Amino acid sequence: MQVNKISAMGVLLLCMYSCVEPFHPEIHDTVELLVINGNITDRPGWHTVEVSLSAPLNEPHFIPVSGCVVRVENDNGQGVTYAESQPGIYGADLEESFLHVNQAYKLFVFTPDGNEYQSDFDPLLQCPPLDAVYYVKETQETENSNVSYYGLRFFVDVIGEAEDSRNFLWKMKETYEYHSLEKFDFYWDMFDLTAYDPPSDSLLICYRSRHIPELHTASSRDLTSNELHGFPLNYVSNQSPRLGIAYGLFISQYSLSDEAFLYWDKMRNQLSEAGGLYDKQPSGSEGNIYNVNDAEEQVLGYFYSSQVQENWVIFKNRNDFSVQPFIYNCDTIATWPEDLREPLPPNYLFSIDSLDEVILPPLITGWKCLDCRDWGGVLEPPEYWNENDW
Amino acid sequence: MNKNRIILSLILILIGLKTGAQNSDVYFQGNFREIPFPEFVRILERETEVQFFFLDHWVEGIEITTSGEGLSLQKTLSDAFLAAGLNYYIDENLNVFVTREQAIVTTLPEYSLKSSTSDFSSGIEKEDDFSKTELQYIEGRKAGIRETLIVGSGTGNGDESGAVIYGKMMDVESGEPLIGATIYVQELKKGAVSDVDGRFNIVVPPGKYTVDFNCMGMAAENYYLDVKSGGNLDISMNRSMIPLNEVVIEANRFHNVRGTQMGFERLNVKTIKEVPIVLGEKDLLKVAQMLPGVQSVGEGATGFNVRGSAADQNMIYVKKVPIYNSSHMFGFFSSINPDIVKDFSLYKSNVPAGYGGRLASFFDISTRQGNMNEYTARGGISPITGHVAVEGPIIKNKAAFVLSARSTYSDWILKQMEDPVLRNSNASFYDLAGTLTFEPNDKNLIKTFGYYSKDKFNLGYDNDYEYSNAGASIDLSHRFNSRISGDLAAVFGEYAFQTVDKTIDVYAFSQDYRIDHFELKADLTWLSLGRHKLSFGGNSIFYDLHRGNILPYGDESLKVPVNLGRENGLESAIYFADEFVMTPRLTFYGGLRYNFFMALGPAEILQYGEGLPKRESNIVDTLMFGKGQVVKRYSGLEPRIAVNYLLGADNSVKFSYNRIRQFLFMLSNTIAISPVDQWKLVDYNIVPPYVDQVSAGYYHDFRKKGISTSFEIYHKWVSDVIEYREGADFISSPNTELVTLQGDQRAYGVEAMVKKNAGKFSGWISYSYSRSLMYFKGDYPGESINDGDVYPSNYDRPHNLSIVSNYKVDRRLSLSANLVYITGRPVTYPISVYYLDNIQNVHYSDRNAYRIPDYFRIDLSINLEGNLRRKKLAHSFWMLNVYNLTGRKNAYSVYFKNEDGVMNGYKLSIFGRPIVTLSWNFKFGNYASE
Repeated sequence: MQVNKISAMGVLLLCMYSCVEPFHPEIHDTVELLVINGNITDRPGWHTVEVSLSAPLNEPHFIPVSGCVVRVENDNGQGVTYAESQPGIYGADLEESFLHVNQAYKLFVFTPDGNEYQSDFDPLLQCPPLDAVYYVKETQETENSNVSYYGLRFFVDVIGEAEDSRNFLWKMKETYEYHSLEKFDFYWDMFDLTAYDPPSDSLLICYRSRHIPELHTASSRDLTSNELHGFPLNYVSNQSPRLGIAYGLFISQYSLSDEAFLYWDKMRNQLSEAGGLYDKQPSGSEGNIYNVNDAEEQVLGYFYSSQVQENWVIFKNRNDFSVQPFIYNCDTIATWPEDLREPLPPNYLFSIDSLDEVILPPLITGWKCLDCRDWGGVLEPPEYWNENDW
Repeated sequence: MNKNRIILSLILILIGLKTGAQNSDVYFQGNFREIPFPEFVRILERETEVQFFFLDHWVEGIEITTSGEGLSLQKTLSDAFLAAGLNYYIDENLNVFVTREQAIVTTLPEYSLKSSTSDFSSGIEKEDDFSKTELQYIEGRKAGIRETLIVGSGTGNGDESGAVIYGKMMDVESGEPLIGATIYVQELKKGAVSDVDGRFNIVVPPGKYTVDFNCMGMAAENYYLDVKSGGNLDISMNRSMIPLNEVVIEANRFHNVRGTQMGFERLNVKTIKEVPIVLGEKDLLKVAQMLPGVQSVGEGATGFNVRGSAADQNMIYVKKVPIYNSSHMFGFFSSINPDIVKDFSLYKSNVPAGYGGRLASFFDISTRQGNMNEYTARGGISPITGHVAVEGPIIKNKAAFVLSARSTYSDWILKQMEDPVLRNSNASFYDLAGTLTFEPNDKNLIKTFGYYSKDKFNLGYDNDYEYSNAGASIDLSHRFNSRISGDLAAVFGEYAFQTVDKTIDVYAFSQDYRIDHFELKADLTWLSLGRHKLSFGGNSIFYDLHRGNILPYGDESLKVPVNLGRENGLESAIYFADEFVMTPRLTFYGGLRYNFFMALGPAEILQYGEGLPKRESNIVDTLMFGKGQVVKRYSGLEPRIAVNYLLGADNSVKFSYNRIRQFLFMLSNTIAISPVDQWKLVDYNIVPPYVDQVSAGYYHDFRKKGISTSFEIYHKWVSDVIEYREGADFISSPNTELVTLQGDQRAYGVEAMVKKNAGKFSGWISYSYSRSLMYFKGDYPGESINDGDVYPSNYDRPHNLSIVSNYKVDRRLSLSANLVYITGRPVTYPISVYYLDNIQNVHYSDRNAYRIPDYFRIDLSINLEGNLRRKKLAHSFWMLNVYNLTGRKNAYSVYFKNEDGVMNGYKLSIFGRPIVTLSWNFKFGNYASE
């Protein structure tokens, strides 16, 4: 990490007149390698293994490999066969009796072309609790010294016992609350106009969630005790509307074996090149899966076992930041109810008050602005979203 | 007087010139009435090609009154100067030299061949006489007049077969020795080159000869030599009247064809004076990268790569002090102040037997010894640094000193940065150096040198870093007799760094590192009568490495302290070499160097199962060694062979073979050496790498045109070269063998160079085609790099073209331009994409299977010298520098970054537009002063 920092300084210092610009080198080669990825956790329920092929750099897409037989065994010889639930995605509902801390698990994949792939056994190590998730307001200076961004840096604290796993992988899911433009007064279903009095707020509040496509890994192996305090994760700035009303971060902490940690840490590094001369040479991305019939074949991906600990934090914006509203550009058309007729599509409408006795069109049609679901969210918050906790 | 300064309808037309062997004349027309002399000069210089040289206070009160057509400048000046007692001289280039008190020579005295021994070594000019420069100048104008130098006495015990002539060549003004100056006996087609102390020796049979003395920047000397027996011959040379016209590598001219040197370059600090360079900072090592076979992995990279070898395979000596980190500020600048540097020699192949311990090259930087006659100073400012050096005699003509200092004030640049982290950063460096030279007599010379450089920076609030080089040497040279001379040197060198990483509190740590180098070195040269020149000697280096402690930093840190341990080693060598002139056309150089290295305790050594990879799982034993105990010995012979065959007077072919071992290496798993990379000794588990290099070349000089050419081909095989395992990290690994592999490297290439040393237009063109390939294949999985397939090294850049040129418009104004083209460095690109948990990941190509775009750059500089008056207090020099004139956005790196789950490619350019800098340098004395 330090080298990368110094690298960054070196590069940036040299870069007093530099420029970074998108660049797409001509890369003619590609290799189609088998990618097998999956994990076992201590949580009973649906587990998946993905079997796919790598795609050319300029045509990135998921290339599923269907028709495989996928099986997971533990070191007691118990096994579970997975079924293909979507192309290239194989799943099984694993029972508690199969999932034990300190047991090791191994993956078997038989592809339609007759090859057999196996992973090494990977132990499911006890994961210390995710002691705390919290945020700190952080100001980020920008290239313009007069302009700063504000936002939140999220941190975790981990306090483990000596016998717990000392390697961690964090996966994050963010949820933020946003609102449609207004409550609605009418609903036009192409034939009839239904009025709501008082105006309905049923489509006013939505929650949008996504898995954050970042890898965060850390290890306490080089530390005197199995503890991490103030380990930084992602940053959310007020340049995104996500912090506008409320923002929740749900973190799953996975324990990793030493081998699995090396793999995921390497993946994390590869995703964060700084572009300097102090970048390390990329090393091979082989994991712990190999072709039983052909040891030379390169197989990507990793099969790992983890105990999972979870925790979350929710930020409620109490005028901490000015944030651009999520919905701010609504197309509106003034119309009279009697003008609503076929073939106008179904829509919600809201009324505005007349101003200064000037007769305004009593109705404004809001296109996509009154149903918050149209912006990708759902009406139900995630389970952990309890406003009483805020 | 001002009220009388009336110029009436001045029309001035140059209507004729008359130049003769002596004083030239100029004819002009105009109407001048009581015009002050300076004003007259200004008008005449503007309207004609006449150039005046005079001191203002000499001409105070002198006015010119004349009018008409066909006015004679001679007559005008004679009339005007009569009362003031001034003299003048107009040369054929229409330079008008005004002098006071000294006579003006308008006709040369009749010279006859005279026989006398001459001694110009005093460096003292007599009053009321010609200066030696003037005398030389005048004498040199009359062809066929040569002085005869007599060496020895007729009654001496000279051997008919040969007399040893030894002596010193020095600068007449400063008394400084001339390095690389040549003596050439025309009749014998035999010559010698002066060493770093300006000393030379040559064996010639008694007799009468014609000899030439040449040195870069100095006026060539030509004498008759009457050798009666062996003896001393000191030559003081004058600076060339027009030094700028002969800027490049003239000292190598003689070598190029006749010497056995191959893969050898010498650059004088004057050579680089006008070469455009980024940010206006003179830098020998940067200019060296425009020589064939020398390159770096990128702009601003620390270190450089010679003939396809890693940067840690170069040894940089300054006055025998090793410089373990030659860079300031991430490699942007060299850590050696150019004010103190005199020149450097670079050995890329055919390394003399006296050098050892590095596989690729030896940079031998010599410093100024100081002016033996008078105090002087020099200095300058550029946008980044200010630098100054003072020097002068301690005992006139016997002892002199030089002190130099340089410091940056670059923080202001950081504050201008757009990047917020950099705006909150600091970076600074400085370096100090000094020499003390004492020459009590012509048999002894004592040279001391001290050096210290320091870099310090912090990145934002998270990282602090500092490193330093320190060194000192004392070197005693003694001439035992006319044939045997020797050097004895004691050397100390140190490189250390300290770093603090506060990025994440819980991981925060500090680390320090230090390597100390203690060396004793003795070299003897024995010039046999006849055709042998023997050299022999030895050295011994004691290394003391404190690899450092990694310690927790701050209250929050839980970092486990790691002691990387201390390492000691003793590297010794003895050598013997003979340069044997077999026939007048064939010269053979044979050397043998015997190396002996001992890794010393205390040490805790892991032993692995025989034939098994060095992995933790294969540890079978731990060996403990006490302090001073020998842990491991390595030794071996290193042959150094070279042959030179003269095809004609001006062309030759050469061949050489070298073997060299290296016992100290720097591990780096980054593209370029990073500031936290550490030097490490070979040890019980890591064997020393060695190189075998063969090279052959053809050399041709076109002396009349001042052009020399060379063409060389080489092939290197490096065995047991050390690399990190894939993905390995050095910092927390006390047992280096666990994270390294040893493999092979092969490098080969051709290098061509054309140099033009004289004339208004000078410079060089160098081109090289070279490859550098690595091969690491182990018998076990994980013991290979790149699956055991051959891959290009990070510095494999096949095509490399450099053009360095200088055009002298006149004596004060010159234009310089560079052109650089290099193949892009190898890079490992992602070639396919795959998904893990919906995050896009990339799979990389074979190591270094691709290249970043080729590099191309043109630079330009305009150099303006201060006035050329001979007698002046100080002289200054302006340089307007445009780096990357075309603003080409050369790729520094190409990288891929995950942005919201998608990999995007970027190209980073360092200097994406022309960089204009203005720098100013000064020195006391006149234009030609050293």
